Amino acid sequence: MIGGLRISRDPRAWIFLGVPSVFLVLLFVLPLVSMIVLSFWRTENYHIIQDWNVDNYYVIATAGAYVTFLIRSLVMAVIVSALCVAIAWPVAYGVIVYGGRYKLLLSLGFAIPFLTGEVLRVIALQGLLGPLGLFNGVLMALGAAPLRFIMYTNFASAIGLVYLYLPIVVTVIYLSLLNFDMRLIDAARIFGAGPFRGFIEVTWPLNLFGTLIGFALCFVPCLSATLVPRFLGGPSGTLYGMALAQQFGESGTWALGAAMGVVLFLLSIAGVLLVFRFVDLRRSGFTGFGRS
Amino acid sequence: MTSTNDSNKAAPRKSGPSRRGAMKTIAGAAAALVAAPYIRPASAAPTALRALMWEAYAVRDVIGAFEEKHKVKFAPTFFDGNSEAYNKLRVGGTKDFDLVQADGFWPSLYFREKLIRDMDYAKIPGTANYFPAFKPDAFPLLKDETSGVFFGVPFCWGSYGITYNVGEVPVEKAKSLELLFSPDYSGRLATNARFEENIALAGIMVAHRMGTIDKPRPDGKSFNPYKLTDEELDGVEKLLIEQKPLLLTRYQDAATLEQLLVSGAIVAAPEFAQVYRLMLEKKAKGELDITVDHTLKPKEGGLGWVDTWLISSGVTDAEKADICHAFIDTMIKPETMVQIGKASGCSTTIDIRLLSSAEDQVLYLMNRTDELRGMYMFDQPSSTEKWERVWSRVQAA
Amino acid sequence: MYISLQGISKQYASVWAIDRVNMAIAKQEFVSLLGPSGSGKTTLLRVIAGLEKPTEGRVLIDGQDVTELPPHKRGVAMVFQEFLLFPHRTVRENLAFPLRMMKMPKAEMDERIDWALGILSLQGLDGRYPNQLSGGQQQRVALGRGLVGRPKVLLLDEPLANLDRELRQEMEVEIRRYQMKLGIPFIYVTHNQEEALSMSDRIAVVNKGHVEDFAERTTLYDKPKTAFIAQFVGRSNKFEGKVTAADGGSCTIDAGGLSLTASGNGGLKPGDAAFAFVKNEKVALAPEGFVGEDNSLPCTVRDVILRGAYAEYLLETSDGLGLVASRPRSGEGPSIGHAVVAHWASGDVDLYPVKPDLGLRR
Repeated sequence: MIGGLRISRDPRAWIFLGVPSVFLVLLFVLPLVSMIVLSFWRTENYHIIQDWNVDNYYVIATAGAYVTFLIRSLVMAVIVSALCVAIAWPVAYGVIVYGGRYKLLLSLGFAIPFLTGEVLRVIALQGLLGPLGLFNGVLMALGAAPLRFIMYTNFASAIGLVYLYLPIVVTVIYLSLLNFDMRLIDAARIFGAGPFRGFIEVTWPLNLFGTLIGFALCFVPCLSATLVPRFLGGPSGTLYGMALAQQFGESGTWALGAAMGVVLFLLSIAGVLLVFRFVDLRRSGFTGFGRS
Repeated sequence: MTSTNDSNKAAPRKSGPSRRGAMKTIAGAAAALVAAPYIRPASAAPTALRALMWEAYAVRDVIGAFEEKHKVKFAPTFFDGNSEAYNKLRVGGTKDFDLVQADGFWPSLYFREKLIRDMDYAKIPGTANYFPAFKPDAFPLLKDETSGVFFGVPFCWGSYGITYNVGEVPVEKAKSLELLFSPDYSGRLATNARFEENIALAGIMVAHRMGTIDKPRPDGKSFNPYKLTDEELDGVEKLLIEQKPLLLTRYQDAATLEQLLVSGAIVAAPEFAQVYRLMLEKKAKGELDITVDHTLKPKEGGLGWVDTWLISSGVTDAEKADICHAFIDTMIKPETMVQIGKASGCSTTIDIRLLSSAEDQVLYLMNRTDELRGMYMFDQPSSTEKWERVWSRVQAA
Repeated sequence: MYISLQGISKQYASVWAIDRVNMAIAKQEFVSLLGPSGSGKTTLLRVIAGLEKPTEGRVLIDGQDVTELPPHKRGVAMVFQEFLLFPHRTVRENLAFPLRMMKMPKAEMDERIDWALGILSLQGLDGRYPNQLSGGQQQRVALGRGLVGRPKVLLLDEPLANLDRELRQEMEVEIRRYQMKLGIPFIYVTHNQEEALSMSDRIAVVNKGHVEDFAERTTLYDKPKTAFIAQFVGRSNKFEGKVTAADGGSCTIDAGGLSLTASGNGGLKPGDAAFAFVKNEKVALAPEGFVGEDNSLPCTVRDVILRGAYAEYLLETSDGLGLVASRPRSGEGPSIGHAVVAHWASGDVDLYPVKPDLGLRR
């Protein structure tokens, strides 16, 4: 079925594959290698000391705090990604079905939040959820007590992350649905499937791949989220990415931070592989295998 | 202080010289590579005066006039913390910068590591205008003990005191650090998100409670909250974990803190007195009902800082050194300092009372400079690794 | 009747895509809906399927009013132009889909699928995915998916449009065979008159939202009821002119200086504008100088197009009027540049009054 990896002898093929490869090496592999090297060194009061050791990994595994951050982040990422997918589906579907001639406009609308910086959006949200924000400001003006659970809690972080990554997930699912032949739903209906059954049998599996990409594009940045927990998470809302950023920022414990980064990287890869291990691409209508 | 070179000496000497050389080159290249993403070298121009400084002090008019007068281009690079600036300097930054800023005990560290050079107060006539507390003889922080040379001039100063809501917190309570750990105000307290100040402030509290604050220290010097014993650190960890449920949040910026105080969501927080000043001004204009006050130095002890101007050790020729001195003199002129004080919200080390209104004298703590004497200066933690571990455990608890 | 469409109309925005259509279809009938694109034939099919709801009118299947029922409760099946096989399912799973929806027991399901694979010659392909099949194979699977659930009616929406000619002709025969074997009505939408003529019992010609005629295929071909049908079905020479004389038995038309005689008058009076159609195969050719029958016209052969068993002669009169004659290729025909006489019987001329084109109802 898959005819092995054969690359054409055509020099153009080398250019087309070579340029991205060079980019990948420069922008991805080299920083990653430097990160790995650094993770096996150590720091002492803002100095990098080049003696090879695995202490950083030992500390991450045994100190407890870092594992706690990691578990917090994993739980947060799973919940946020699932929420995003659950919200994005009806939104994207609605745009496809009812968008009519405004479809393009609406889909471009998803991209608008990307035009402002992430920091700006997080700070805006901090204002919104904070004591003088939209919700609590109104509540307090009415003489009620502010909602403490949306101020500086993991709940607030979750709201922030959903807010940040929902547009991406909507866009990805929207694009998936755009490439999906809606008439297949007609076919399912004709052959005896009600609306729900038709969704389960046809729409969902054929957009599963897109949905998973959307999930992953939310999950991975959630796992390494820095700004949101910093601004919204409160005293007990430190997530892995935020702790990692602290290593590179104020505390100058870069080697430990690098080790945390490597762990995060491996974990992200493992997570993505695990998900795709359970997905049969053919079962999601993926046709990139060609005919045979 | 262990440096990169020391550690190479400590490495096993078994391997042959050529291999060691190769390893060193590789390691050096790798270190440069590793550090590259975090360090942005400033471009060097012959007629430029390059400064590594706090953004708040870059007052456009003053700098423009200086550029005009001395026919140089002023090229500032801004940093967010002493450790960041320190790192920039350490990785070749002395060649990239002529002027440097640092606070607390950091200048002396810079000098020990030969990142900055000595200075000539005679070339800076403005130094005559210091408040008594910052006169060269009274202020030992910027003088090398062995050689007696000066390596920096004071600029702005501040504390990390407690700003509190007068309507909610009795003045007596606000005089003590205990306020920040008091269950009476559970959920209505906040602290800064920086780990150094959190640990240092808790360190003062713990050492006070343990009684070790007045006892002889292991290093033979007097108590420094940045050099805590392991027992004290353990106590700090416990105290900070106990404090967590009392905190609404750890604020990231002054705007957030102001919002928290103004809304009444919190009643007290340690801060650099910026928000205190802002709120007082608003109160004076009638835009605010809440009255706040600021405890500069809690009775257990307080943290303070003095920003300084330093000259990088990369400045070797006399002409360049003169321009550096001239720049610093411009910056500490009383007229300039008034502007900078307003722009940055900081207190000045130069006595500008003659140029200031009575309100501003109160606002900018101009009659309280003496209180700084007893404060613990901002410093580098004795072991950032240990402190980081403590901070992580607190956050994870 | 087994299927009955009563006054079906469908309005989109302000336009009536289907306008008061009435049809009755018997249980064993193969019916084609023939019309140009945009005529409303596919919409009509989708109304029967339940994929569209008619604005007015009722749909009855097997005596039951299904107008309000969703597609999956109507017992219909459909074969789509683009096949619309489920790309994430194998051939067997595609065929199993309608049966699973019926909650058919596994054993019976397998039996049915094997039966479908058998009659469609798809044995051995049941583990393949649709994109691993050729166009013809995909078409068979689509057909199999339509038949496997033994629907009350099979709706086919231009199912052969994406196949090449040879395959299409093969499939026409097969589809007709399945229909006769299963004894259920097939309603077949096409814009291709040859497909409609080769398979159907009856053909409904759809134009601008309404049915021009719904008749036996031979009637439709031989006695086209309207000018539209005369033009759309078969290949004809078209003339436009004025009636110069009309009596009970015949009628004479002047079409740009050419005088045509037709038997019957089609309700026309002298002075009326009229269309006259003569099917290409009714135009006979005779050597130069021939005079006879009702209509004869001296022409020159401009070109000869070979169509296998017959040839088409493109003729031109001295006035520059073009004509086409289709003749069986028995012996030598006239060759290009030859002068000939084209002639046809007055009974082969179909006459229609020229009516203003009203377009779609608004």
